[in-house]
Amino acid sequence: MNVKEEIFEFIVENFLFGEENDFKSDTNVFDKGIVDSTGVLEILSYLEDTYDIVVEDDDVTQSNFSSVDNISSYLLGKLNGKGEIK
Amino acid sequence: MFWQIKNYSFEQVALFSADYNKKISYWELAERVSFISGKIESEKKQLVLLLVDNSIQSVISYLAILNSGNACMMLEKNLEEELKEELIIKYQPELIISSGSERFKNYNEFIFNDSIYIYSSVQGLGKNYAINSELALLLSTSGSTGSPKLVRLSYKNIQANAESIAKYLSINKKERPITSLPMSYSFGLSVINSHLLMGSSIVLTNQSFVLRDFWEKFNYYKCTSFAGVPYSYELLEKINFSNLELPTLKSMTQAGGRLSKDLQRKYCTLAHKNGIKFYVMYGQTEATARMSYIPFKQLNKKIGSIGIPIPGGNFKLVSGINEINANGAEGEIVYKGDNVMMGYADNRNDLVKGDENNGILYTGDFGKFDRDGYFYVIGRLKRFLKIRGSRINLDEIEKKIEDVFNVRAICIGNDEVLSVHIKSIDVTLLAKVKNYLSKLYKFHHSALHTELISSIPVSKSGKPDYKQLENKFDNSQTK
Repeated sequence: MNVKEEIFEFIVENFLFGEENDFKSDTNVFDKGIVDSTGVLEILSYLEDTYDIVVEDDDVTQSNFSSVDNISSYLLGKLNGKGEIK
Repeated sequence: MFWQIKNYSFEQVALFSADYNKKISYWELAERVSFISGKIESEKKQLVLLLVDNSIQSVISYLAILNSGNACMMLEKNLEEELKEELIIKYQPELIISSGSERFKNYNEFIFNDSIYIYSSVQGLGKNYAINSELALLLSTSGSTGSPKLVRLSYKNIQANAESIAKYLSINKKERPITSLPMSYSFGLSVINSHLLMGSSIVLTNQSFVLRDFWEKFNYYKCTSFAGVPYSYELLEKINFSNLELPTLKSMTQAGGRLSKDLQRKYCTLAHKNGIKFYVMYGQTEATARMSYIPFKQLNKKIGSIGIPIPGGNFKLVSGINEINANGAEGEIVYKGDNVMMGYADNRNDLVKGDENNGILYTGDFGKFDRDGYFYVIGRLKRFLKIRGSRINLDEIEKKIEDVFNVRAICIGNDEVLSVHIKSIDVTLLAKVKNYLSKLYKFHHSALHTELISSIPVSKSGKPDYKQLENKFDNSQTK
């Protein structure tokens, strides 16, 4: 499983209770009411714990966290910076 | 009245949409409100279901309904479809207004104007029901959980509370609040009402305040105040709020439950250091929003208190039929003021009812007061929890589980977690009930605990013995 698939699965399991329905990697999780304030922090903890990165305060933005595509792009950018791609 | 928009200023901005980078002046607001109001006016008072988010369209529609003389039933736009449907069946609104295109069974799109969609009932729903002429607004007591039990608020209620709040917070037209709470929640709506009353400019956004974008907008629009429930302040801790540079922030308000004494002290110190006024406040939707507050200069001496009554309001303590006048003695906190609701509604039949409370509200909170007249809540008399800003009626959740899963369940808990005890041996129910409640009420799963029990403990009166389960639950939580 690649990074994007892992994040997709994490969101489906934790925010959609395993029901994918019409959820896609470019679905805006804020507009659709899937992820709220707590959810953002939960995703943030998941990224830090699973991929051993530090999410800086200034990185917690709509553009980085609004979809699976954006979260995985952000994560890959961080991992690239560390010289690690999972 | 704040909804009549007397301030027809061309220059003064009434609403900024931070999400769409738009703004409208008070003059334009009055024009658009008048247009929508004209479209929904009718000889017979009607019920209008308004589905809101923090948008210019939602504020215009809300004010238009108030001006039209119809009653407004306000619900969160993102409410689960099943709950929306349930409320439509129970209350049979003649009209539905939303800021987005939606589909409703038995309603047709009737008017569309600049992103405001108005739907009317094709079956003449509600036509056989009268509505009390004083009824202005119906709000859910639980914010986003879609409880069919609604609070009936009069025109007098909403105006009185807006005036009191504007007075003790010294709101003026230079204030610029940002919407950090949903408009459908009484606290969120009170921010809008009290600032419209004073001709301030309100910055509307649906964005979460845990995102940096929210705070960039806060600075861009030069916002002056932030409103939050206890959970908001806990989350602010996690995003290192104290490191943010917010040069225009002048005041912070907290209501919607008890903020821990530690956090009250922390924000009191932080506010003092930065020249910000921090208000700890107390209220209920049954009192439109607010009943008391701690004047910011007194907070460091009154941590843990709910403060003093708002202008125009009064508290007394009652035990049985007796009023308690001694400092330190305990009793139920009873509030009196023009902002006390007319009563509850459970269905459309109830909307014809008049004022059943006569300005007096038994809060269900047990408390005391000190020698300076500051009140303190010690506990709750009723079966409610307040999890992350949402008020949860435990009896209602028990009924819901019984209806859907055909099993008895007992709900208890604290303000951190709802614990559901299901009388069954079917282990699959643990996950099913948890998922059902999480999805239906948008609870985070960490705020839910489910377990199976072989029998429901009962007290001598034959009623469920909640105390016994609570003790057991508290012990397991501390292990």
